[in-house]
Amino acid sequence: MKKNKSKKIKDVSLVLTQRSGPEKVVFGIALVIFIAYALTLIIPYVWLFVQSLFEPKSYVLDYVKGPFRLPEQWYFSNYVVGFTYIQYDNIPFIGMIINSLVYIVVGGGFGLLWPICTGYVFAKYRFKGRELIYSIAIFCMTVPIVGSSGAYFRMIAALNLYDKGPLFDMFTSINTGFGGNFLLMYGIFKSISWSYAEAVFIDGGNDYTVFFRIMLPQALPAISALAITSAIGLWNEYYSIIMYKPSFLTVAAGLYYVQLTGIAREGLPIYYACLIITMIPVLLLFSLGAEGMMKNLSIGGLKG
Amino acid sequence: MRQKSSMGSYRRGQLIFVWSMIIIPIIGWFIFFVYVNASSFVQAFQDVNGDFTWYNFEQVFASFRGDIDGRGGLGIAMRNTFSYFGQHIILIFPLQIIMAYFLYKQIPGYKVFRIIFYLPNIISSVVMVNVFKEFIAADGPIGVLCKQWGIFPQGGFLGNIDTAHATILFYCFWSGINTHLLVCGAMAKIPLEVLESARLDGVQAGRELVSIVLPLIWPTLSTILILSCTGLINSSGPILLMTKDAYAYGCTTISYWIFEKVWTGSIESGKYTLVSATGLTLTVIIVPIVLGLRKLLEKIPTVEY
Repeated sequence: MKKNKSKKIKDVSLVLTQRSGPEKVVFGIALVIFIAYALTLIIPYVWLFVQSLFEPKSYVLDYVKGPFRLPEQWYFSNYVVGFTYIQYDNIPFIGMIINSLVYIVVGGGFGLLWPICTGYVFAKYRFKGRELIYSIAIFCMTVPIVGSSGAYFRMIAALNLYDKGPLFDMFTSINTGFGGNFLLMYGIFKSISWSYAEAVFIDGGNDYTVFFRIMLPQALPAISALAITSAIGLWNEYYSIIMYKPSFLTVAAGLYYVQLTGIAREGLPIYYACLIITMIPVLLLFSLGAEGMMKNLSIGGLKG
Repeated sequence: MRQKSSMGSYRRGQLIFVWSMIIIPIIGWFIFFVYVNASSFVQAFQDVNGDFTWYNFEQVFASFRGDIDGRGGLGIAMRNTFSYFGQHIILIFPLQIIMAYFLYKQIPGYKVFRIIFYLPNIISSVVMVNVFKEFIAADGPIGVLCKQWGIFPQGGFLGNIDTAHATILFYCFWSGINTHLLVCGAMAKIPLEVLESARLDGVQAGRELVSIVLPLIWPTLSTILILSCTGLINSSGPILLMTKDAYAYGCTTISYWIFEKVWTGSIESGKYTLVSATGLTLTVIIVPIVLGLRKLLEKIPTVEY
C-alpha cells in the first residue's frame, strides 16, 4: 500500500474495486451473507410459482405429499382462469387490474404534478413569502402529528368523496404538493443549471417556456424514475383503498380481501397464479427504470 | 421609463407564474393539514353530539392502563410500536447503510444483488405476506421443518400470543434490510477523488466507511433519520395482512389501533373522537422528543462537496 502511495491510481473508478488482503476477507464474508440473504428472498417466489402450476382439483391430494413436491403436469392455464375465477364483491381479478391502472394514471399522475410544480418554483425562484412557506412545509413534514385520520375520514365523507374512485384520487392529490416528493423534486431542479433559462429569456421566452421547454425535459429522467417508484407504490397500495374506495378495489386490496375471506384449497393454485401475475407489472417497471431509479433519486438535507 | 415598465411587467409575469404553480398545493395544504388537524383537535374534546367533554381522554388513559380493550389496549400498542421503531433505527437502518456500502464498493455480483435486495420494496406486501404465511404455516416448508425440530408453536407462529408479534417483527427485519435507494444514491454522488486520496494514504474499508463515506452522505442520512423519527408513532408491520385478530394475539400498534378504529367506526360510534383524543395525547408526548432529536441531528456538521 505504501508503495502505491507515491503513484496515483490510474483509473479513478478502480478505487471502488481495489482491495487489500484483509478487505478481501471481509468482502468474501459479506458475499456469502449476500448470497444467503438473496436466496431467502428468491426461493419463496420460486416456490409460489411452482405451487401456481398444480392442477387445482388435485391440489388437496397433492398437498399431503409435503411442501417441496413438484406438479406432475404443469397447469399454465391457471394464469388464464385466474382473471375471472378470483373475485371479491363481484369485482373479478381483471377488474382489479383495471382499477389499479386507473389509480396509477389518475392518482399517480396528479400526485406527481403538484410536487413538480412546488419543487421547481422553490428551487428556482425567490419571491415574497418563499422562506416562510418553505420553512412551514419542512416543519410540518417533520412534526409527528398523529390520529387525524378520524377527522380526515369525516371531511372526506362531508365532501361526498367517499368511495368516489378517481374523483377522490384527483382531489386528495393536491395534498402531495408539500410531501416527500417535494423534497426530491426540489433537489432535482436545484441541480439543473439556470443558464439555459437566461438564454430563453433573452430570446423572448417567458417563465412557462423555460419550465416546459427547458427545465422539464432536463428533469425528465429523474421524474420518470420518480413516476416509476410512485406507480409501483400505488400498484401495491391497499390501506387507503379499503378505507376510502371499497368499491374500486385494486389488485392489492382485492387480493387482501380474497385471502381474508378464505379461499378453498382447490382454488389455491389459481390464487397463487394471481399473486405471481400481480408481481409481473412491478418487475417489468422496475427492470425498465432500475438504473434511473438508482442514479436519479437522491435527497439532501432539510435546510433550504 | 419604458425599461422600468417592462421590468415591472416581467416581475408581474414571474409572480403570476410562481403563484399559478403553487396556489393549488397551498390550498391543498390548508385543507388537508390545517383544517384536518384543527378539526381533529376540536373533535378530541367533543362527544358524538358535538358537546364539550373530557370523556375521550379518560378513555385514552383507561386504554393505556389496559382497563379497556385488554391486550388490544394502547399500552400494548405503544410497546409494539416502539419495538418496530427500535428495530428499524438500531438494526435495519445501519444494516441498510452497510449493505449500500458493499454495493457501492462493487462487491462481486453487486448489480444483481442491488436488484434482488430491492425486491421487497417493489413487490406488494400482500404478495410477500401471503408467501411468508404459506412458508411458516403448519404444512409450509418452514413449518414442516420446525415441526421436525419440535419448535413449532401451538396454533402456529401467527396464531400464538407468545410468537405472533415476534413473527411479524422478524418478517419486517427480513423484508426490511433491503437496498435503500436514497442511501445508494447519496453514496454514488461521492467524488471518487476523495476516496482515491484516502486510499493513497492507506485508509482501509472500515475507516473509509466511518470517516469518509458517512460524513459525506450525512445530509441524506440525517434527513432520512429525521423523517423516520417523525414517523415514530406510525411504525408498524403489515398487521392487517398477517393476522385476523391483532387484539387477541397482542400484535396491535398505534397506527393499527387508529386504523382499525376509523375503519370499523362511524360518527355515531364515537370512535373518531376517541382517535382524535389519542392522536392529540400522543402528539403532545412525541413532538418534543422528535424536535429534540432533530435539533441533535442538525448539530452534527455536514460536509459540502
